[in-house]
Amino acid sequence: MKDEYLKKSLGYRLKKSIPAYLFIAPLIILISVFSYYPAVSGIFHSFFDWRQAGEAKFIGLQNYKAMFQDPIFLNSIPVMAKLMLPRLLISIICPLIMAEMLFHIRSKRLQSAYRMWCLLPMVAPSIVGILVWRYIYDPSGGLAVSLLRAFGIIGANQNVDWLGDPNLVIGSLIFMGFPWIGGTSVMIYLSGLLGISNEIIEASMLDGASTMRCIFSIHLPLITGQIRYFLIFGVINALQDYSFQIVLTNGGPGYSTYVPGFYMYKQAFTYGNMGYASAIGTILFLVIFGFTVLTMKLKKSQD
Amino acid sequence: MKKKAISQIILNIIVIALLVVMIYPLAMTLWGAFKNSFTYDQTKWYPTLPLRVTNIASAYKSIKHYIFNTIFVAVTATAGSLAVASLAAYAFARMEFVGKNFLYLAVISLMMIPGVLTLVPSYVLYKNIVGLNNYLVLILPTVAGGPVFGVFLLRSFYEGLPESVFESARIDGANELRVFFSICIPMSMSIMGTLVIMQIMSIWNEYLWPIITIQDDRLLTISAGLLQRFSNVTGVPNYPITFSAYLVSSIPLIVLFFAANKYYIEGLTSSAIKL
Repeated sequence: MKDEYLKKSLGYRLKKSIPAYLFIAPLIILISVFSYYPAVSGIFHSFFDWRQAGEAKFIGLQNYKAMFQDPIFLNSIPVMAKLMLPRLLISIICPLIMAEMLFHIRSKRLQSAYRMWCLLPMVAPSIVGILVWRYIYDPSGGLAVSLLRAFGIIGANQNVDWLGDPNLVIGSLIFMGFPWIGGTSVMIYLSGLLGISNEIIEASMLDGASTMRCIFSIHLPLITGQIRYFLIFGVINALQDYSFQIVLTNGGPGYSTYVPGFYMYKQAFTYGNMGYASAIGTILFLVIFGFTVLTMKLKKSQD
Repeated sequence: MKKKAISQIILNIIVIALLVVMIYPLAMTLWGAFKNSFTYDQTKWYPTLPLRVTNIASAYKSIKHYIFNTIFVAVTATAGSLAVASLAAYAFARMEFVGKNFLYLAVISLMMIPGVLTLVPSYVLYKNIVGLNNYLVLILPTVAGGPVFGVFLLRSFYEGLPESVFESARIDGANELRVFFSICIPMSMSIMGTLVIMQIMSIWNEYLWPIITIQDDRLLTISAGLLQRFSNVTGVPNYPITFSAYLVSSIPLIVLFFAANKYYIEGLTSSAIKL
């Protein structure tokens, strides 16, 4: 039927296509105006002196030149790496360990109860999940300080400014979410593990393989799909995420938690430098795009 | 055998301990919401009686407009985005037209464009054509951007439906729109439910776009409202009231969680389908 259809003249096929075009018209119009246009506009205006008010003025590569001489921007890159790499590793490994533990729970009823428990934090708005850490890190009466006092690590009246001390703030942000098992990652790993056929596992048990052996040589190879997924989306999110900065630190103290995405936000919405912000956005886009293409290539060559 | 039983007990203890540590910060806000603000500081680590339910009432009073705004935005935006997505997905799955593959690729490629590139130009665009400080600037981005993943998910679902169902409807003289409404929509209720939950969750959790585009406190949605109202306070905040507000803001999500448990979990985990 398809071949027959392709044999007809283009005019005939276009005429036959009209109903389908009506079906997709709302989508195509909306994404052209509100998705493609901003993307093109962002790259285009990265070559302009573009302010909140007034005409945009073409300035060539000036924004990019300024960016790579801007100490705040240059400093934001290592800050991002220091925040992102540990958090990425944690977010991949900890839920996996938890999923392995849940997988080995013999009672199915307890197992599914624990799974639901893992999801429990998701019923609070995600911003609440970040805001509660403000109270945990309260310098004088927060949970973190109280625990250290209770164990005698610091004096009874000593305070710790977790988010206000430039030497501590990165560590404090990395630690947020401890023990990093809430949310969907555990579920995704666990459903991968439960999908492994029983025969494989039973056969290895009969061969006398230890639990650890079983995990490393059977489980891990069979859930590389999930691990790759967390890795790819973890990197893409980490490159553009600045929620901690918006909610908790405002980039501070000083510039010690500025990441490129947050600097872009500040340039655009605090200083009104839309052009400079677009240049930072374009660079981040290129990095993310390059990374995505690379991973897709790698995946193809593996398959 | 006994050794196995002991290792099971130890495993369960470790798991429970980790889960308790994980949930403790949220549990603290839960019982903190019912405390007297004068005695809060002495008893904040554990739950106490009596429960001061009046906290909830005063917190509700100060954030109820955020909640109603969010519900309004979530309902209209989700309905709009599902309508756009399902129509297009039907065409891509079940109709032949010139340029189909190219157009589908153009839609799906949008998943590769990160928000960080489009945030600033989108702000300028919306400011110029729909203006700031109105509901439309909150609703339109979801109607325009939300369908991309929806098209992806629904298309593969519609493609999987058996051709014979469609044939017989067409033989009966039903046009495409009729086929779409009488066959595709009823059969895809479950996957639509998943998409609905995903959209509602993302609107409930969004704060960056609202704090940029809305200055009028009366129009803010819940996450942005919580951020503006309770995070930049000077002096000692009233913790029980703050925590009550967190609790009130979670109630609609809790209701959703228990009412649509199955879709909820599928919605949460279906981001993994992308790969």
